[in-house]
Amino acid sequence: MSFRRLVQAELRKILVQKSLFVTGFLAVPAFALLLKVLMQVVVFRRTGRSDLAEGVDLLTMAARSLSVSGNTLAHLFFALGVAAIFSLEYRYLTWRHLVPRQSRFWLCLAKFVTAALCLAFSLLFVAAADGIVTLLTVGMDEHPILSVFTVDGLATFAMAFASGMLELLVLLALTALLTIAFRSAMVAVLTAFLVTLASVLVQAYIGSPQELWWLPAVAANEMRDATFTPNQPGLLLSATILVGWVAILGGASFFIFQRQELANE
Amino acid sequence: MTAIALSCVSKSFGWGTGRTLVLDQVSFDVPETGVYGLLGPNGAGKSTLLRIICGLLRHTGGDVRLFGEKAAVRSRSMIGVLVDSPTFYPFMSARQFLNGVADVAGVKAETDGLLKLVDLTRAADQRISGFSLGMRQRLGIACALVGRPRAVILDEPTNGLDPDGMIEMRGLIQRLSYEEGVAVLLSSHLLDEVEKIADRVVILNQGRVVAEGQVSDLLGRQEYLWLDVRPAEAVVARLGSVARLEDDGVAVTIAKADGAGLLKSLILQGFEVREAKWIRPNLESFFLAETRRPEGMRR
Repeated sequence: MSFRRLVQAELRKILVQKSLFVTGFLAVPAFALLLKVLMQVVVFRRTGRSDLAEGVDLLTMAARSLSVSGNTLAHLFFALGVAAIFSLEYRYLTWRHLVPRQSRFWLCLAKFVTAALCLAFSLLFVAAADGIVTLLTVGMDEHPILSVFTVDGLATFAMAFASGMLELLVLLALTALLTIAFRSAMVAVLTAFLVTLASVLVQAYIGSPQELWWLPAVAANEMRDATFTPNQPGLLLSATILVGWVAILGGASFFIFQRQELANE
Repeated sequence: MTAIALSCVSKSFGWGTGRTLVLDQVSFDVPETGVYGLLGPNGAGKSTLLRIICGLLRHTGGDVRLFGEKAAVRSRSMIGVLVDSPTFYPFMSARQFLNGVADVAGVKAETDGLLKLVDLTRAADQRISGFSLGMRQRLGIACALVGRPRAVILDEPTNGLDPDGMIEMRGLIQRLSYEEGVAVLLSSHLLDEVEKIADRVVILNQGRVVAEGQVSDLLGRQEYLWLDVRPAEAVVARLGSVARLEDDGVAVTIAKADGAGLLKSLILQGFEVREAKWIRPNLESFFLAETRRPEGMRR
């Protein structure tokens, strides 16, 4: 059994569906890029202010852009992409071609890995676009680039990417669980979006981060803060909470799919 | 060795009072060679049974074995399936789809050969969304054959095919079975088609096996002697439960060896026997007789 071939097959499926791929995994980087360009052109250049510090650390700048992983609207688009991957076989009744030929565990895992790769691609796209705009801005302003790739910058970027990915993996696991349980992309996307929205509202109106430490959004925020603020406690706990959510939601998805009756996909 | 062995397979849906028994202790063996017909009226449990064999549904009781091994991913790699109506990703081409199925199965694709076998070479790179039902059926067969399986399960493979397509499909199934040595489990409503190509059949009704065996044996079992005899009513009264009035004559259910003796006896008793012939039912009349037979009168 070649797991790589399974993932390649899944990747081909999502890449052939261009509109779904663009909506799910390219829309967020595109919006982030557009926003960055607008900020540079309309706000910073007109007001004469700059978001660039004295010394520009390209990787640290790009790392900050990865906080898009905590944006509720971004979650809506990402959930669309993830649900598209998981709902495909239910929508076109094609589990009947796959389940007899491969173990359900590997089929489900291939979808998880494919969705995770697409999300990682999306985050890296955000960072790359941010870096390019920053470089162009620096070039136009003749701003001295003090550092492009520093070890600290690389570490910060890696941490920011890891925290962003962990937060998106929770969203991935939640959307996968809902898609498998309800066999519908629409139900999954709406529910996942409402859950993330409710999480934001709960944070805003009800409790302090100390009381809501178990919420993935709070844990992700803590992890992001720890990334950019040295010696901030709670990094490990936040990471553990996010990993725990991924394990619980992902495990539930696998469990349900493993036992799911496919009388009519 | 048998290709597919089912032993007391049961399946129910729902819980508590809403529980419905769909398959009740179904047992039969599909041999490693030849075409095996799975027949039954709508709702008999055929598709459920096929889905259990394929791993799409879990059986609530009994045992499913494929080539001697318990049905699991490894043993299922030896079978190819076309369950229900063939469904595909409409945005892909036939070639892309077959390659994808081969990737999932972890086997060599052999796409060109399969497309040629089902006569889809010219449409290989067209989007499946533009395929006719017949083309989809043929692509479904090609999917079932990915990885050179030792047995294939075909559920209504002639659905939606025109008469030419049906003849082609019949030829393809026979070729698979007799030239390639692939065991075929064929489910179909077209009884005359099944009669032409199946060696053995099993008939399901309301989730139970009501008849199973060689087609020739099953039909032979219901062969009867039809007599144009006068007076017919008197003959029926004389012969009792083995005789019935049918088509202006008398149908007598007796063993072929006893036919001559019966005729001689009737003539000696003064009955006017004008014509006598053995009638062999076709699969359709056998099927109807078996599926309409009251519960307590089944063999």
